[in-house]
Amino acid sequence: MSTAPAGPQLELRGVTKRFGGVAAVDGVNFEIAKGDIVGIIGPNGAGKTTLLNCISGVYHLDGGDIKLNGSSIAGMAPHRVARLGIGRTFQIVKPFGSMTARENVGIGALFGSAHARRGVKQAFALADEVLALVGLKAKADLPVSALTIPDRKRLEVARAVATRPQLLLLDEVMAGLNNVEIDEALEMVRSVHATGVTVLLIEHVMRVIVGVCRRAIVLDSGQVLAQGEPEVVLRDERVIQAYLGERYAKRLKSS
Amino acid sequence: MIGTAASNRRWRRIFLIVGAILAAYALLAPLTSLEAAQSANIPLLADKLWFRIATIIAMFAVMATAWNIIGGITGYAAFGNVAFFGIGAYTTGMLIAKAKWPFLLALPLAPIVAAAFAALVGLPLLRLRGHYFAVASLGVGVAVGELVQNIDYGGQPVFGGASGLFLPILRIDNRGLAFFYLMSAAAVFSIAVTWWVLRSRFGYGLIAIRENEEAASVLGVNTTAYKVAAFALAAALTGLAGGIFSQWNVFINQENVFPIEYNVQMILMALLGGTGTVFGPAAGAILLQLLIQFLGGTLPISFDLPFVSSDARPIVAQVILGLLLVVVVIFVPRGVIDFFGGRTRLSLSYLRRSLRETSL
Amino acid sequence: MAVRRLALLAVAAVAAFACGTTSAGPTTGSTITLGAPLGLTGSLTKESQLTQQGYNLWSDWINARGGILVNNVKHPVVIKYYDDTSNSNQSAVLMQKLITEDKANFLLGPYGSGATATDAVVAETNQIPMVEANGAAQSIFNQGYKYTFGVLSPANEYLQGVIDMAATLTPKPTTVAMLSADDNFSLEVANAINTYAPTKGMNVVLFKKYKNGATNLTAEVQAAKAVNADIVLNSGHLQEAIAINKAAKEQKLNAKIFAYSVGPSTPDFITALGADANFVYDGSQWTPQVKYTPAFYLSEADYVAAYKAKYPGLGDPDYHVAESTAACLALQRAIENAGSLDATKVRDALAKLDVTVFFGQIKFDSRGINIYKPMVVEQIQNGVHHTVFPATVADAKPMYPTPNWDQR
Repeated sequence: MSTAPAGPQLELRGVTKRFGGVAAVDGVNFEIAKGDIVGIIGPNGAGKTTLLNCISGVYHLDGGDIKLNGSSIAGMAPHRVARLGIGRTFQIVKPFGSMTARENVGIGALFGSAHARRGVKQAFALADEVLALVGLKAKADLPVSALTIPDRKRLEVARAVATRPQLLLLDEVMAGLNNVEIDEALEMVRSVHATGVTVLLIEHVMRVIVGVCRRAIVLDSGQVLAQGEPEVVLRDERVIQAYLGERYAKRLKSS
Repeated sequence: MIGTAASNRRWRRIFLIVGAILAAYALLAPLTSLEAAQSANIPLLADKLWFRIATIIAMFAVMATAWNIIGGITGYAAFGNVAFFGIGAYTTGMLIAKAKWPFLLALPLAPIVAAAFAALVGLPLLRLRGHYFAVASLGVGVAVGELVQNIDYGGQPVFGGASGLFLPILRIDNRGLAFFYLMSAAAVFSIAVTWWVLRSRFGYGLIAIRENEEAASVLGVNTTAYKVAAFALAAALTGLAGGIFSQWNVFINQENVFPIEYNVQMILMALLGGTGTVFGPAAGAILLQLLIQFLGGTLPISFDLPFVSSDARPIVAQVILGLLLVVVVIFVPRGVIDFFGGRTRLSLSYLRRSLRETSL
Repeated sequence: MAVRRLALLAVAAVAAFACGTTSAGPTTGSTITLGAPLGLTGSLTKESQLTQQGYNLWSDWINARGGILVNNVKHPVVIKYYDDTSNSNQSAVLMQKLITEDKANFLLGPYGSGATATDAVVAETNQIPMVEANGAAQSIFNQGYKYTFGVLSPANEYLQGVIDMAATLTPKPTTVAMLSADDNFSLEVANAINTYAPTKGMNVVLFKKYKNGATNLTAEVQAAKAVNADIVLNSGHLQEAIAINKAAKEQKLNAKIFAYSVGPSTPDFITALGADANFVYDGSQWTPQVKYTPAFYLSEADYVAAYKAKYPGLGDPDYHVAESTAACLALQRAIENAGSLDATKVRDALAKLDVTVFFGQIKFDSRGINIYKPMVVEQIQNGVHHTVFPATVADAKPMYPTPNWDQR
């Protein structure tokens, strides 16, 4: 990656995914610049996770195109997308249960993006670095079963980070955490972003979107409703109607 | 995590020492049957019956260890691996009996053909998950045996048909001994392959697939290629055992190289010894095959089961094996290697924890 | 070996002297151990039990006479059995156990071609003679093995007797329809007819294979009706023979001869078909009616009587029983002829054996199989089995031709 491409790092054009007759994602367009940190919000069932699955290759597209650094990645198998440098987490964490924290992260380092692929020894050394970055250094040798819920979320992020992605997709890594834990997690996302990774995150917690994102994209019924600076987007009437609801919106305004 | 680190180490050491002594006896005792040893008045520690049983044990050690690669490490419960044993046996058998190849030239083809076949059927089969894969692989296991018996060309059975296939007897000195060592070498090789797999990038990919296939794929593991490779590797080792069996047993037919019960036995052995471990499946093979031979009445120890007439004994033997399967799956899910390896000891809490692990 | 035998003789002589026996009468020597793995449980239980009955009939008889006479010393006989659960892999292990642990002097065969093939290899590699009576597949005998001997006629001869008989009848039948199961043994029987019938001036106008164990054979019977053959042959098993006979009646398939390789000789066939079983022929290794001139052991009638005395309620001895007894007789005579218990010498004596017993002539060709005893042809006449061919051993004449179904 000697010269950054002139265009956007990630580009979605008319991305569509249907289940049966229903379009879960319906003609979505947006771009993400290298080094940006962008949030995706929207009510339940808006198609946020489906969109992430489309980008990471878990789902095949029914229409449209996705380009990474100008070349299409639509239709690629998940492992090929990962090797091109897109890492992701799952909303419901999917740790490798029989492994220790270090081994979990080691898998990311062993495989992952093409330039991250290395021998077992180096992979585990990298795993230790990443565990330190997300604050799990002390728990590296614990089995997954011994980790708390917040730690498992960290592990999920650490595993994705260990693939050395250029773009990281985070699916509600703050969900279910208390305020203190959210602050710690925010710190973790910031430090990952600071290493030069572009971040696209799905969140329900508004504080996160406002706190770390430079841009927010609002999805509703599979379509992009609005996008722009978080504060601006969150005051958009359509967004308030569709997603936040009157009562919550008033509270947000008054605060 | 019961017991201190020091007692764990001690148990592990005792376990290793006992294992090493047993292995040394198993491998060296047969040498006392050589003429040179007998003329030097060294007592006979292992006779021809012993070689035969030990060769069968080694054969199952290969099959259980091989199954472990796809079933234990990758987590795909293959129920039709006996197909690869049969394919290996028929590959070597055909090359020797029909094409007149020498044994040592024909043997390497057994794992190659078995692996190629596994790769071919693995591509569609390994898209199936869980019990769908188990059932489909069982179907393949049965179908291959039927095909081998029934394929005709120009009215003549291609693979010897129902009459089976006779190979020429390999007329060498100490034939039984030679095949025992050959099969044992295959077992050691399989264990070495497993050892390598568990330390390699490949093995970590397989374990990741077992633990969570979707997560593995988004981390960059080419799950399809890895699963097929694991299946083919298991097939290759199983096929190797089949190839050796064909020349050892001389006569092969559908009944003796495609027995459906081997499918269950190799899985039970791996479970008994410990799936996903290096030595577990082989240890399970030794224990279970000794039990099978004991119940089958081939061991020197004669016995009478209380309240059981001799007619009913084989049935009782089947019942005992079935019960053992249930007990192992429920109570010793991580196998005897884990059990005696020092990490745990038999206690109510071990059994309770095991029950929790198996009843998700 | 020679030293041991000498020592044995010396001991026997000393024993004889010590007992004060001054006559030249035989003394009692060491026990001869024979070994046989049999499927006493599992899928081959029935046939294996018949095999065991045949072996036991002989061992009772020989031991009542003090044993096998070798150089004026009588050696009692023990037959050691193991249950191989009808599994040929297990049979091979047990064969090795019999040789290694039980020090079996000689081996008797298991039941079935698969186990016999596997055990033949064990006998060959251990150089211990095995005499078998229940593995008729010729492939076993085409391997050049020196230690396996089969007293029964090979599979290819099973239905040849029917063709031989047909050639003697008038009006002479000229066309044959063959319906064969697709297993090894049945195909070997059927394929032999393909080549044999033309040599007797008959043409095989239909050769149809069906899946072993098939219960609906209507299509096969219709095909046979379409070619209107004089002889309808089945090479298969009991249930298939019954199914073919039923379908033949329903489809009004008429032929001069209906002959089935396996099935009609069992009582079940008549029970299942009643009067429709009449006129049906089968090829058999042996029937209780045959008339041979035995050189030793029992006559046919005495054999049947001995069987009924030891196993009451089972009816006449089946041919499985007779051929198994015959295997023991072959071994006994070979040991006597060899004048030794040495495995190699007894093997050589087996190879040279030529003796007629109640079962017929026992003589092995260079491959070790008995091609000299003819198969006999049986016919069910008025609900009773009669031996109708060869004429020299027959107790009745064939009822020929078989009347059409509407004239019965």
